[in-house]
Amino acid sequence: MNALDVQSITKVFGGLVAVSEASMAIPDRAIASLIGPNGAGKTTFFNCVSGFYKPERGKIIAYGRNIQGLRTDQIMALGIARTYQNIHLFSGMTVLENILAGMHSRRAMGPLGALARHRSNRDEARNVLANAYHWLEYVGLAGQGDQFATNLSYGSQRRLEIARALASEPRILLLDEPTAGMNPQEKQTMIDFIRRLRDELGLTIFLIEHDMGLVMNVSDQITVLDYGRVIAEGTPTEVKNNPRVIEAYLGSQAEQEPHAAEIPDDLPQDEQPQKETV
Amino acid sequence: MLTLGGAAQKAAERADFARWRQTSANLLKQLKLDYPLAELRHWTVLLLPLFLFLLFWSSVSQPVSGGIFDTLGTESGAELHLVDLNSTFNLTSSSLVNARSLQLILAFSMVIAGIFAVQGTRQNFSRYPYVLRVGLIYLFILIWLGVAAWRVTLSDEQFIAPSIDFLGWESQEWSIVALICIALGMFFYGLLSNRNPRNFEFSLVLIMVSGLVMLAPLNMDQYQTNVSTLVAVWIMFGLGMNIVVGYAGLLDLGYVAFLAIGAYTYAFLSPINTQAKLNRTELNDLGWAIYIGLVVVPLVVFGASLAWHRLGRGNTSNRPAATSALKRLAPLWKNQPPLLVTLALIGVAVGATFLVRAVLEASGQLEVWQFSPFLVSLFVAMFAAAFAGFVLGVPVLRLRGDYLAIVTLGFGEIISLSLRNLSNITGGPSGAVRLPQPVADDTPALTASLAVLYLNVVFILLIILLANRLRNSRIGLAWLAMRSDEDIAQSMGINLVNAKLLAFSIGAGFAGVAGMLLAANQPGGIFPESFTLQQSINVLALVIIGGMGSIPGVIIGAIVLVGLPEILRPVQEYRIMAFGLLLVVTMVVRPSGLLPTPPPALEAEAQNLYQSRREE
Repeated sequence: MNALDVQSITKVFGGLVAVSEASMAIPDRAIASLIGPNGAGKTTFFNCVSGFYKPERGKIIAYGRNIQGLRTDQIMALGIARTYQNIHLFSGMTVLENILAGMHSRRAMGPLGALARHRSNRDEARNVLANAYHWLEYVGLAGQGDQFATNLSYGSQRRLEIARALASEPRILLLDEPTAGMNPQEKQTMIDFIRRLRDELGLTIFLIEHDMGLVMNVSDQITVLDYGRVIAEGTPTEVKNNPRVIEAYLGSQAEQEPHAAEIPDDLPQDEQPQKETV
Repeated sequence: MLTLGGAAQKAAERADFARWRQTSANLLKQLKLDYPLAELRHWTVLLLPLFLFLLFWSSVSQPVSGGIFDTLGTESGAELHLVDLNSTFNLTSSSLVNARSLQLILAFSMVIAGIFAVQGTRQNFSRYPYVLRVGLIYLFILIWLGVAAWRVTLSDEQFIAPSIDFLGWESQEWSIVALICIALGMFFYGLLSNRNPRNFEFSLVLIMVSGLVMLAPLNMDQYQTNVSTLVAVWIMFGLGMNIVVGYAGLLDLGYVAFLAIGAYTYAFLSPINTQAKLNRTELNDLGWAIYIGLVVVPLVVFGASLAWHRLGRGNTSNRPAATSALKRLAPLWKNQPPLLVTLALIGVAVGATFLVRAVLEASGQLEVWQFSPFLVSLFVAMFAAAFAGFVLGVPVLRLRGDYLAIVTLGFGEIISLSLRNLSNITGGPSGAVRLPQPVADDTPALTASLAVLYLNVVFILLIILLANRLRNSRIGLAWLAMRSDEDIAQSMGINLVNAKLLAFSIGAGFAGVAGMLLAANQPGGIFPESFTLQQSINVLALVIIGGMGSIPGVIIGAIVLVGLPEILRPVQEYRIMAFGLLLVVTMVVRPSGLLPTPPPALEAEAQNLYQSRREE
């Protein structure tokens, strides 16, 4: 069974068609990437899957269940967790409390339980705390659990965001540009970490990424989006040699000359070496 | 108004306690450098409340003979001022402040110093031998029990224990029994607290401060008791607001409505317009309807859903991590008992209530088993206010920030105007007058106010306990996450509808209890002027000034914003100006409030739990 099956979704903002008839399927335990030039609709696509936007048409099926139209908290409860392009941690809460908040949908304690603190409630609180420490250690933040989340360094905040998502025990993890703003070494660590998530936890990982080197390296499957449409899908090698992808990124042969000056602007710095291979 | 709302949000955003923590860490570093001086400073902070208490106690007129400690040998009825504030500061009754207000300020400073002392305790403090540690704690317990025994059992007009005659024993005997019970409880608490020597300082200071807070009212006069009760009611009110604004970040400008609902519930359930100070009344049909609708039915529904969870059908905890996420996660509503079961249970409960009533009526026991309006309205006021909070919460679920503030403002005005204009029901502008106090009919006025003050203290402690438990629970974390960012909180699995409605209802319930206690201490009556927009802004300001989401902050805020203006009545004209100035200065100098509480440090405990789990 496919982990995620997106069937021709369309999302329109006023007159702008952000995502148009986009379909894709991610097999169980795969690492899939979504790439495309700036403004291609990648994040909109993500927001549709995680429930922030309600697509006008189409179906989104996760492990055989239609999740289109559900609220974000229901989708999270069904096992689809995500991180954000701009880090969104809970300010005013400690690192450990952020992870505990991520476990919300896996806990049963209601307000009466919180007030009465019956034995089962205390047991649950202890289990949850031990679990939270497990995730803290898993992402390598042990020792910083009592700090304010917003006081962490940038890379640690990214890892905390992933820990918060992992704490909800997801089956599918959506990562929106997990390596944005990282140096090559940190990126390599992140690649290894993403592989570990798949191999150790059996997660299906779906990521948006701008760094072509990273995408080609880590992905089992790549989907390319341009102007809201899926223009290519396949293994990294297939996508790399797809003429439509080359056209989307570099412009067509005829157009290339007049627009030559604009090309570097469209591409993040990291894509320079990739451009040469294309 | 919107400025205030903006300030509230700003404060919530800036609730960044890192600086506080850094300062305290630096302080600890300094402690190691200059040890003796720091040690002195540390113990000064811890013992400051005791010093203030001694000053307070010795400045009040004291009868020096009678009671069970008749050892001073002076003449009966003689009075003793160890410190005569009037002559020291050359005060007359027409002065800006008089001795009474100064004593009250001393008492309030004692409470504030007590908070600082409790917060200033250190954990790694076990250099003293066991005997000394236990001895110190028991010394404090003995001293304050002794003082209490002496004060409570004084004879004649100084006698302040309630006059009861029960099972052949007089009030004085019963007072001693009560004190012995407290002593036993304290004894066992002392034993318990010494099991972990790291907690020595905390136990010592907690026993000291709670003892002092419990003793201080015994030496207050009528005026001082009334002001203290007012502050106590506002602390409770602020604790409710703290849940709505401080934890959940929902700006509510009509919060006084819930205080009004609690107060008027007490008035409705009491025999109004009777000269006698009745403390018992028979519930009328309206009272029964309210009782069943607001107490029996919600309790049955909650109980049924709780039992349903316990029986295992809705048990969502301890799921094995490896099973399919979809199977693990039936939506929450599937875990509730079916509607028919709930309805049947409600039917049974209502029937049983009526059966009990019928049996009592038939056997002539209803006279004996009459309800105290206080006990009935304690529950009814809480549930009525919580229900009102729920009703307000439903239409404002989608609103945020300024829009939410405007809608709640409107709700507050609706309640306020209804109280003023529905003269048939509420008594209109002339209020609901001559309310009974929850004491025996022939209790002296001072003893009655003292009893209400102690009731307030007990309820404050209870509400602090509940609020603290909520803060550290699943729902508390959900509130804090929601305060930080609603959308992200929802995408992390938090059901915003549940979280918001719970915050509104629980906060409103606390305010209902506060309102009921407010009415219970106003034998003169309650009036619509006590429940206007000004009060809503006041309670919001006290939560912001104290520190959003901080329980000690609420106590300090209530003392500063309610206690001090009451003491400084002679300069009332400048009160609002000083109020605004204080708000501005606090927001500029300390944007996170006077006394923000750092979030709990959980990592050490979490690490222990995790490692012990792994060893198993």
